[in-house]
Amino acid sequence: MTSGAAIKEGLKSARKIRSAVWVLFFANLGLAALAALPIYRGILGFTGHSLISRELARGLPLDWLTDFAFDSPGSLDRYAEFIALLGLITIPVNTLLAGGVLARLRDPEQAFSLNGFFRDVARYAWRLLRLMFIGLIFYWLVFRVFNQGLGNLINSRTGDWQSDRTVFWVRLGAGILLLLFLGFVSLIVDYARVRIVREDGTSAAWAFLASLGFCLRHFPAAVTVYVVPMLAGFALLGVYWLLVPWQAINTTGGEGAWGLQREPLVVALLFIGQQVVMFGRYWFRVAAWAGEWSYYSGTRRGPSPAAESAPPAAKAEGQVAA
Amino acid sequence: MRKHLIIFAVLLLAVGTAGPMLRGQAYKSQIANPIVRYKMTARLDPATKTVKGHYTLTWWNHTQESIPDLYFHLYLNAFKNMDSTFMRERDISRRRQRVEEWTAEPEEQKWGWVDVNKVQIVGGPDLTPSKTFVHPDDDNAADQTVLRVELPEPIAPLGTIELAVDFTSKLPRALARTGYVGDYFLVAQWFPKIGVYERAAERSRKAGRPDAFAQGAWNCHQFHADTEFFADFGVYDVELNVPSRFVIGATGVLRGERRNSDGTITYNFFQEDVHDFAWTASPHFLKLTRKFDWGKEVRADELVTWSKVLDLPAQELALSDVSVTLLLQPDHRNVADRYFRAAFDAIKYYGLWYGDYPYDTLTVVDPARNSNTGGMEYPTFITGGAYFWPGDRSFTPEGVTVHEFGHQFWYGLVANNEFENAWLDEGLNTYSTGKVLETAYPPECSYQSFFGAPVQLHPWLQVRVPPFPFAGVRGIPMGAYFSCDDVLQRTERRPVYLWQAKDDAILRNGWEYLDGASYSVNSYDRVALTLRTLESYLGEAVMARAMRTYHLRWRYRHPIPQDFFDVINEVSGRDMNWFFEQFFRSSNLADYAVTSITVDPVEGKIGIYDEGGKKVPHLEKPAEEAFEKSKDKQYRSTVVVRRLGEAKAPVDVLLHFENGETVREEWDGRYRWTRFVYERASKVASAEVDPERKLALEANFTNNSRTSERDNRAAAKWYVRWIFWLENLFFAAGFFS
Repeated sequence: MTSGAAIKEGLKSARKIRSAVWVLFFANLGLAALAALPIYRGILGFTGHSLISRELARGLPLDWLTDFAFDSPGSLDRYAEFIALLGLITIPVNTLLAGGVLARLRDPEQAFSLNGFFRDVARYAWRLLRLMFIGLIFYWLVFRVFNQGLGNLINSRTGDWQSDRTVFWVRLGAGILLLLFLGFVSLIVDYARVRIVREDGTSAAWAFLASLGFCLRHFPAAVTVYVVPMLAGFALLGVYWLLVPWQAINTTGGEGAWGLQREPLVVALLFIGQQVVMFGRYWFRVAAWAGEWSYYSGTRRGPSPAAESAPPAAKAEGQVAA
Repeated sequence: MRKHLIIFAVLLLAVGTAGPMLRGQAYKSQIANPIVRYKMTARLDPATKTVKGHYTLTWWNHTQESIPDLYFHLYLNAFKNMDSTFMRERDISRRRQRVEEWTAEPEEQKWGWVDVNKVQIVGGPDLTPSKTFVHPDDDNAADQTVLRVELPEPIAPLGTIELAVDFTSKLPRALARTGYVGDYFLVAQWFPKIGVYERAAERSRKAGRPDAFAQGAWNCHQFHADTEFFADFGVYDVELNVPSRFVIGATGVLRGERRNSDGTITYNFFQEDVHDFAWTASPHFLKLTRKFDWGKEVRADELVTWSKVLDLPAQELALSDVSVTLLLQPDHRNVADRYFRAAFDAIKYYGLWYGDYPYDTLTVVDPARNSNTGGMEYPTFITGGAYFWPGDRSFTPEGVTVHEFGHQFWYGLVANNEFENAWLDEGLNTYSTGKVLETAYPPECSYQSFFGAPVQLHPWLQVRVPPFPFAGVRGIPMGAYFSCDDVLQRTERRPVYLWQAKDDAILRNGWEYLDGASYSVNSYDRVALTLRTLESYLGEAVMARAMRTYHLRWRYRHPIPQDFFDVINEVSGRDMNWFFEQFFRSSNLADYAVTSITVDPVEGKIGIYDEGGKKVPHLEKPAEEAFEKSKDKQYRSTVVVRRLGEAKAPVDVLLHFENGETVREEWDGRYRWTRFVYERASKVASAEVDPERKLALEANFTNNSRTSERDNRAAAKWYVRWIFWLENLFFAAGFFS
């Protein structure tokens, strides 16, 4: 199977299993909404009765930020820790959800049920979590080597270089190297996940090693299948950046009754637009997994062993198709 | 309109006749009897990072006292070892870490010092054996930054002495202001420099020093971690000898150069009426020179504007042409125009506002990367700082160029003692820099955080991405992920100021602040905010006149804080001593707040009233019903304004009623609170104390106002935006899943 065909197949499958995309999307939206709640409460409590809230509705005035930081010392730092913690929590959450999503790829035509989805989540949970830990160890190693090690080496060697242009390119090169290696680990983990779900019974460590071998053997195609949907998702963010009329959004509302009525509508439209983008990003993420599944399956002889052995859970329960 | 045109034509005529007379003139000394005259030769050895020098110093005793000794600053000895006062003072752990990061190959090469090899009275005895190190500021016997030389005979009142001095300066790997990086040299604070002798009358102007009344003394402080410099005006005639491959720049005018048979070139720089001499050398500099032609740079309408503001005829605002030389790092060729533009804007506005820049030259040095020599000022010679890829809406190199040039007017021409009153230079200049930047440029774009979140990561997780390409390149809509908002010069210093506001008051010796951060806040940020506040109380025009008067009155002299305060009172015609007490001599915070708005219906009588000799009950319910039915409803609105901070200042309170009416009240702001009560047909919708934000020093602008109804628009909008950012953050984290 070519990488192009795998990507196409992946996009098709992602359409078929879009219910799983919704689960992924809503789980992360819920976490984000929870994480953002202190911002809402903080702004409302500190600023709700102040005229400065009108300036804040149009931008982020430095005066307000100064007031807020000075009035509640340490709160921003604590909030940053809270966000970092939730960010860490999203890693295992998405690891677990990936099991449910990937299991759907065994038979994309199968009707969707939340019960079935979470049964699959539970079925692969421990193996995927072990795989996640293996992946994190490798991410850590990459950081140590290319961020700390190489970064410190560059700092010590370029201390007396007078040309900031040269140092910039050297640092940028190191940064790109770091990203490439992080991406490579992510690629291996992705294919290992596919292997774990497709070939039920594979251990996490063996799946990681086998995936490493697979990625090295099929390097260009494996990378293409991984990267293209990811870039498409990233492009959505670019489109968002380019199209969102911030000027209009920040000035809409204005003073008076008309402004007050229009403001909730503007906020609602902004929220909908943002969530469309996020759904698109998750959709392309799932498309990447589906493409990897197709490509991996295409390079193996015979049907998926797991597909043969797995029970037709959703159909058996008579769930409504998604 | 017609009147304006006539004024405009008259001004053009006036300036047109005055201009040519002033252009192209060589500098003429303004000081009849300079206290110091240095005639110096120095030779740079790039291999050993050493400057060997010799000078003859003619020093005039301008007092009526006999002076038995001489004091010299040996600033470079601050970098001699870890026991100098400079290295020991404050923030030890931070400085230690910095010194550990301060590397050179071989390691001993990084240290710097200056040796006085010989001191001799010209045609007289050798004074070298009498030299001793002294420590006027602390008991640090290891510090060698002040040298005392005993004279065989005191210098008679109004007498002069001529000294011949041989010295060797080993330049440090640049740690602060001076030194080398590779083959780049910024040579500053490099020669044995005589201190300032203050006569009794001068010292008695300094309050709180009983000893000061008795007699004069040397004012020659040790080199401290944060303080800068103080010296007398004089003449510098310096010959610098460097290998011919080096491009150099220095204080003053280049009078000549000669090629030597040993492959070196000797340059002669000369400048009168300055109090220091610094120079730089590097084989890599691109040397660009342009002329500040005041006739082209200053528009007629600007002259009209500023002559009105300053209440002066336009002729008095005439400026001189200046030859500006930029010594640029080759990487920064693309930033040359921005450097020149900033320098020209600074020459123009400082000149228009405070008085003509009197010197013929200005040298702007673009320092080498990692040299720790950027952002410094020396007479007619400044160092800037730039990135090869500057952001369109960041003030690099503009901010630093304007600021360092501005020092020519404060540190340079109004040469107060920076050891004792750093703020008179740094603070006034920070204020002035802000005024130039907001006049000449659109607001700077701020980047508060990465991805809008104040995320702090463990150092080893922080990806070393150079900040500058991402800091506001036009055309890349980064606004959604980087908070990019206009920074107003007026209050941009508040965040820094507030964190250190209670540590010290402004009026303190530079080395006696709590720590380096407090020095910085009380010398720069707090002063700029305080002067903005003062400007709000006096009015922009009065402030501008006062600043100009202070500058011109104290040119080529050494003022102290009271001199500045006296000028403010004199020019404004007001007694502003309350202000100086509150904001210069104390560390009190200013914080006024509207703490409550309550609105009650005025319902008429409720209760028992004596009416017609009887006790008549007026019940609540009928009163309420009567109020509801009434076409002429009245409401009692009560607004409480409080002084939450310790600083006291008069403030205005602006009240908005629901029907659009506004009422402005005045409050002296002295007691802890005040209350305003109104009975009107309309309710108070909002109230604002200090609505014009006169108090730039205010600790909390958000509580300055209060609305009767809560407004959740800002919270909702930021909530939605924040959710999206977090979703993307979590999405990115998902790649590690």
